[in-house]
Amino acid sequence: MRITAGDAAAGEALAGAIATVHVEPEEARILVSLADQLQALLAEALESPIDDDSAVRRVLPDAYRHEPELADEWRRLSRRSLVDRKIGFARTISTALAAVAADDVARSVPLTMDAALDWVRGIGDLRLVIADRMGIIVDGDEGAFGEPGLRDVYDWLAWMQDGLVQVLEAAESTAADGAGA
Amino acid sequence: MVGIAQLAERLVVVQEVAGSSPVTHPNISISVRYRPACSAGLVSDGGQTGRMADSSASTPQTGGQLLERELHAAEVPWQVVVWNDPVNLMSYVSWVFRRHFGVDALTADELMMQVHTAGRATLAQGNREHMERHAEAMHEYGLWATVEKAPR
Repeated sequence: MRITAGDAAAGEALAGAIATVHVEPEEARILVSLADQLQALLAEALESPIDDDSAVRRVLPDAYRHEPELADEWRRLSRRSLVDRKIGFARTISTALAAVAADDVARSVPLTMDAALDWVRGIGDLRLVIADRMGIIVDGDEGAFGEPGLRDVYDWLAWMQDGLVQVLEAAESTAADGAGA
Repeated sequence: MVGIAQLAERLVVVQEVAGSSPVTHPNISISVRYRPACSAGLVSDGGQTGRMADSSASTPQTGGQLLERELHAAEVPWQVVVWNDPVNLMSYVSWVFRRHFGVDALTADELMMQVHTAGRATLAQGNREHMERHAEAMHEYGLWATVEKAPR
């Protein structure tokens, strides 16, 4: 995988693209699978009256620590739309990669600013869930649980997230310069 | 939080793994729960039951020195706090602070380091509804944020 700033995707130019993700089919399949699982997890959280899954509590934490009534009220008012938006982030990833995942050649996928914002947040949520599954609780934990390869995927997602942040920062500062001129 | 510097070595491994090795199969499951739900790290401690601020009809103290009046909800200051977590990248958290709160890069880095080292940082103060909107935005970014009464 390669994340490049700008809309350098040969033959796949997209108006407003701020970045290009060059992705292998195998990588796309992993990401699509994870993004689909995240959507299912979030959809399940909407149906469940209590968050008995610690991963869900990481992705959708309480907004109050000491005021349970306020926490409940806040959840009642905000959860559905928040979960819908988070499902949307994950869906943006799986939709963008569906074609590569089904193919056997690497492709360049252009990302608009909006898509990159969805990606960076969807990948962040994936990392929260995977960290929980691995037993990462405090800074420095290596993760005591999880299947082989999960740690690599977790770090790979971190690398992607950092790359997307850099791309977004560059695009935002370009936009700011343009606005100031 | 974690720094991206720690990840440099891992990347090589992952690209290899994701590219060709059979070790990483697309069928990685994150739906499997490895631990009992109750042992989670991110639970509100729930020990103290806070009083409702805006309904805290202060009881007039007869004979005491306390002179309290009922505060209008809008007068009670609240704040939004972002907590440290072992997952989010330092670069990401700093970027989120800049983007959402509109602070400059230096301030964002300072706040990020405060979260990282002190465990928490106060990002904004104001009325409760406003702070709740900030908290929701932070949750949208995957950061652990809570609303609490501002110290007075």
